[in-house]
Amino acid sequence: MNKLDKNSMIVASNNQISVDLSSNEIESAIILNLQDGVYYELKNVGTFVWNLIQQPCSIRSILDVLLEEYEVDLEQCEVDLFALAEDLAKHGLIKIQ
Amino acid sequence: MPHYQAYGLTLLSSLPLPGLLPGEGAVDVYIDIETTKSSSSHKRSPILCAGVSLNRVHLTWGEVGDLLIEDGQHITVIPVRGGDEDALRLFVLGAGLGVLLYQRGLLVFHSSGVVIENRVVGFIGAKGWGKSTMAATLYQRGHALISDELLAVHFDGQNQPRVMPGSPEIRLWSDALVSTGGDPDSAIRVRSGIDKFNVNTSAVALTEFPIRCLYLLDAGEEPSIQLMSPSEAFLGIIPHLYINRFETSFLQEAGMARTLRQLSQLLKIVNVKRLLRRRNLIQLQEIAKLVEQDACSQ
Repeated sequence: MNKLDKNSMIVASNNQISVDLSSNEIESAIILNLQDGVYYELKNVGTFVWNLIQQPCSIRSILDVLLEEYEVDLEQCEVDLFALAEDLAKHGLIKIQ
Repeated sequence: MPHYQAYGLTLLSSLPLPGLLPGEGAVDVYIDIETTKSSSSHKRSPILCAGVSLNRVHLTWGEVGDLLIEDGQHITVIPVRGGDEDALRLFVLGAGLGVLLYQRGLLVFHSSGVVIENRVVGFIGAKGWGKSTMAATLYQRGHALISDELLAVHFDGQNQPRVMPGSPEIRLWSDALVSTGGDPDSAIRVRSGIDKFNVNTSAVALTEFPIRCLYLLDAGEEPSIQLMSPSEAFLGIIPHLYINRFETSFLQEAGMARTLRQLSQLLKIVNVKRLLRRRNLIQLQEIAKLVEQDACSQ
């Protein structure tokens, strides 16, 4: 697995199907990993990021959008985004380029 | 050969299917018995599924026979010589039609349903959780049955989910039959050697209906109903999609993207609730009343 940094490009992998189940109360998405048949659930900001990375995006560009969209400080946002991306990569749901 | 109707389709079958309502008009589905070949009996109980594509699926039920289901239009039945014809009928009406409806693009649940004030209330759960018992209890209380075992949903021109009317039979274990006012001595067994009975209902839905609510059956001390979030509902329903009853993963892969899209569309429109109750037959009327009140309040 490639190491993640701010210049890494990430994109949703071809080995999954996802559906957006967002309602007025909560944003959520379910992802099915077609390799092993395991389902994953994303909530709120995770769903927002997931929708962005249906097209290849750099970590840097995702950070920019998140800082604009949500009231968070840069440092925390970076930590959370790297954690999410690593988690998605670990389960084979994204490709890192 | 007799014509039947089920799930909005006209079926022409050389295997008599007395559980279905008589049909007429242009034939949508042909069910033929292949007698030149005979399936060899093997002592495997779960139904096996194989196939080269979604539109050509081969099911095997060891001591009963084989079904070849093609293009959502054809079921070829290859019985085991000397096998049980009632079991063969169950095979065709359950797994056979379940796969055929899936091939035709419907979203199919392992579920039963009744019509309460012009909209369908469905009960979802695994074998033995009381789907049919709930349907039978509500039927006794004056609500028409729309389907037992297979709940087949199609999406109309406005992308609204509608349940197709299935078979007018409910299958109940003998204790559930007694609890819902039936008599095992006069009822007809699903097949010989099994303590399960066919109950023919006279008040059945003959057309499709929109869905009011789906209840996922679950265990709890006191009867209660809890609304589930869309993602909880989604993950709760997945195991009860009809295609997930087969051990193989080939069927799921073949149509999974479509199925998941349909399920998420369904959840935008229909509430899914957890129906908690003790897993016995004592509180049936109380639970039925709870469902009636809940269903009518939305």
